[in-house]
Amino acid sequence: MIAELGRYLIALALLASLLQMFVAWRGAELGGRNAYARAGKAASEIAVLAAGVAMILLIASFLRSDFSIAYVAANSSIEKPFAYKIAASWGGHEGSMLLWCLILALFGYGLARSGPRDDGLRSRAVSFQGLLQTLFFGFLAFASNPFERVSPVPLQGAELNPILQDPLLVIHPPMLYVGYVGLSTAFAIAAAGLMQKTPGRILAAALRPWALGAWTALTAGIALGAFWAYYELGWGGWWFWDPVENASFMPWLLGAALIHSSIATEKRGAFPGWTVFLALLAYILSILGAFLVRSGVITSVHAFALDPERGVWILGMLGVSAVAGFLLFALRAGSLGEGDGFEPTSKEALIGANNLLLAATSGVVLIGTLYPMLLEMMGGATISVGAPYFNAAATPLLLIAALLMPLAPFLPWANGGLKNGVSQMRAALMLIPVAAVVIAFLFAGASPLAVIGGAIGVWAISGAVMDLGQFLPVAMARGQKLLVIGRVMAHAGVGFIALGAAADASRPPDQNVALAPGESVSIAGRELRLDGVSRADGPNYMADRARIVVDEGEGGVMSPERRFYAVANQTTREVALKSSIAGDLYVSVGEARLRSDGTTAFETRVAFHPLVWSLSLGAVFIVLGGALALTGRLRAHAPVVQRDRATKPAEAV
Amino acid sequence: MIVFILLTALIGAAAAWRLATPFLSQAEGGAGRFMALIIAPVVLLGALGFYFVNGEPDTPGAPYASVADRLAQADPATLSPDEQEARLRAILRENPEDLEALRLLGRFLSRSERELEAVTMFTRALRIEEDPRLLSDLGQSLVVLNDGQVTPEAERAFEAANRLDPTLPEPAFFLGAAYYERGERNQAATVWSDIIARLDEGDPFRAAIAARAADLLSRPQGGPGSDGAAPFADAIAAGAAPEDLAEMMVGRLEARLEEDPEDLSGWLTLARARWAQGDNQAGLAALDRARAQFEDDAGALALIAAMRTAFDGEEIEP
Repeated sequence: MIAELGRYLIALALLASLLQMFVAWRGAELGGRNAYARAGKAASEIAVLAAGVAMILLIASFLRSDFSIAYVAANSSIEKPFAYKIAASWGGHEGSMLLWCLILALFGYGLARSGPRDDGLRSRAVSFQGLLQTLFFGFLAFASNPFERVSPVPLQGAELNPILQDPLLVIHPPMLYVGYVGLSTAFAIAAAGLMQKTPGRILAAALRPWALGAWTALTAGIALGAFWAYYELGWGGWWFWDPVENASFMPWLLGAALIHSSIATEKRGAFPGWTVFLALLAYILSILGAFLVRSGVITSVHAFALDPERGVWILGMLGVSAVAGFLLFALRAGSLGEGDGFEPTSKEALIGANNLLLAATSGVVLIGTLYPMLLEMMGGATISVGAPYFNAAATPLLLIAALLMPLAPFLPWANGGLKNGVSQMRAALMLIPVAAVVIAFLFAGASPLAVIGGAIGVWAISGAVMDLGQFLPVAMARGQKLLVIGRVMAHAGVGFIALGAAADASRPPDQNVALAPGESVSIAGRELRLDGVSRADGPNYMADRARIVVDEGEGGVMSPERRFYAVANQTTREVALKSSIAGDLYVSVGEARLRSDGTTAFETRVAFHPLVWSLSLGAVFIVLGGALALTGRLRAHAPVVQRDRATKPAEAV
Repeated sequence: MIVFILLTALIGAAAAWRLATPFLSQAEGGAGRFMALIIAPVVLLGALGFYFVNGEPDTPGAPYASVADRLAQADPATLSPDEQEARLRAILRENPEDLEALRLLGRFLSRSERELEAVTMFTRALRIEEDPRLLSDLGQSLVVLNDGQVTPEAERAFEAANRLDPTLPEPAFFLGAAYYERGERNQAATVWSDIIARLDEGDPFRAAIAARAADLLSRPQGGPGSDGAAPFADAIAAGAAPEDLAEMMVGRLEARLEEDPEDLSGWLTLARARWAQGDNQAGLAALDRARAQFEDDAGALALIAAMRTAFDGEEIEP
């Protein structure tokens, strides 16, 4: 009965979303403060409750190992540990779709409860959110139902993909979905604003906190995924320009552009059309990501549904959202108004340049991601576009954006101030050549791009420190310290990521060797000796655990594993990491091979990733920065448009 | 079914009430009440309508606990192989140290060609009790896992099994195979002869081991412990015909057996070679010489008899 109750609740959530769309629309027509608008909010509550309880029932089904549910049978086994039974609820296509819908409904309820202050705009936004919910709940109910039954009932499940059985993967998808789906609120508010002919400034102020929250969560989700890929896949990297990684990177880039352009729009009325366009496009690219992962058009470690029929559904949802959003934009963009002018060396100009660079990077990534697919569809050759293209085309654009970034806080709104800004940042600017020389010296053989990237990273970090010193006292006096600290942390985070990426790109070549017990391999001045291999079986896997002694014990012991998940009939490598300030020592073990002399040697991959902590620190800084800026924004209760009248232009971003 | 209908009706009614409430305030008047009257049935029936597109209200759930309970109650003989495996796993979940369940599950997995899992089960069982049959099962699973090769780990398992119970045929056979793989044919022949001699005449293992051992021991020696074609390098270089080369090799073997007639493997190889050359009489004569040589060795005689049986059945390949 649990399964059928879950299925009923999904049907109820679909109906509630449909009603939310219609009654909230009518509520907006009548001004937004009426029974229809309240009913729209009630509908959003019902959708959240129904989807939430359905999710709980799905988790309960996993914990009970009810294999009469096809999704449970396909993604779980009796032996699977408790935490991964819960995580499996969103580890496969159908369950993750339910989670997506639940988060979508939660954002719908959030909009109804704490959305734009203007009643009409809020009600209209709730209605648009209802449209998005209807599309996804419809897809869930009729094409991806996680409570679909199977007969005859299997005695054992097929197990969740073992590479997904990892602590980070428990929180990576929910965090990513909060980011992807959170961008739906920016879409709904932007579409509602176009429908209501809301001025651009008010619209930007309304959508900015939602976009900031979603983007922060998306950053956390992507960072968790990158870290997982680094230590779980055993490939020795944290970013592979995989199509699905790109699919998350594109809305992230546009989200970053959006939160910056919305500042310019809110403060100075600049780029209103662009800001709204970005709000629409960012969410549409999120749905494109869902299409890439779930349609079967690409092959990737992330592709967990290979079903063209579902792909058509998602393409339909993508089409409806895009047509609705862009048609409204084409018809109503004129109503957003125009801002005051600005000089080419003002803060607006730099934000505009930053937006162009981020959007251009997103376009470059989009082309590289879709080109092989489109070529194949048109009967062309099967090709893949990999890191060389993206590194050559996207990285320089990102480096220019990072180069300009630290200057922006030092420029005034509207008026030119490059000379003054550069003079204030002279000390940080002088660090660029110094950093370049130091990096070139420390990482012999580093590419010019890596040296430039590292130097720009140092510049961004020092710029952020100067930003803090310059603007924090003023911000504290004005009660805006969280906004400034958030900005500084996020910008410093970008610098740390640039530095970490540059260092990792200059790492010594990885070593792939076969080691028998007693044999050693050297990397980055460290000697790693395979001491032995023992069995280390887990609850649902068998494992060989290697004991690798670093520098004869002075560097400690590392214990990578090779696991075999019998039910899934799949082998994984569990990487061992030894972190230090210099970087990560990275070891994974593979298959055992019998040599002709009778000894058994184990495939071993050894790498050294210098300063890789800088990447993690950068991600943490950006996430914390986003969270602090959001908190600061929410604390500043009054609308920023009004408050800004009392502040001087260059003092708050 | 009734509970399900009642529950969905209750949920639907609560949702309908929540949605209709905003329209029921006094300020909304008659139009509001009319709206509430429309919304309530839409919610109640609409949700059920969406549900029944693909709903299966009659299909019961099958949580693992109830499935395990059913299997535990059932007569094992009536269960399918998959159900038997599930039942054994359920027993082990209750008591991970149930030796019999571990043994049976290991054998089931081994028969199902899931050797790696079988090895795990036998290893777990051996942690509880050192049993010669379990050691033999473990060794055999390791051999299958390694494509028929008796690895050092498997050999250790067979040695332990043989030490605990020398009457078990499988460990002895595989210990002989280990010698054979290393090119130590005489030791292999000794081990196999011993175990054959210890088995009853009617034991099916006896005939099976004898046939397999005769087949292996009568193959021309290559790999470890052999000189290969090195002694005939000159003849090969001079372009000797294959049949001439074969005759030279067999002749060399005959000469060696004249010097060292205690080489059972050599006699079997000679007999097989002659038979394969079409000289059946010479093949049978070689077997007769061997029989005379090993007349006091029941195991060796059984191997020679197995070779003869193979000749009769024309199961011999060159």
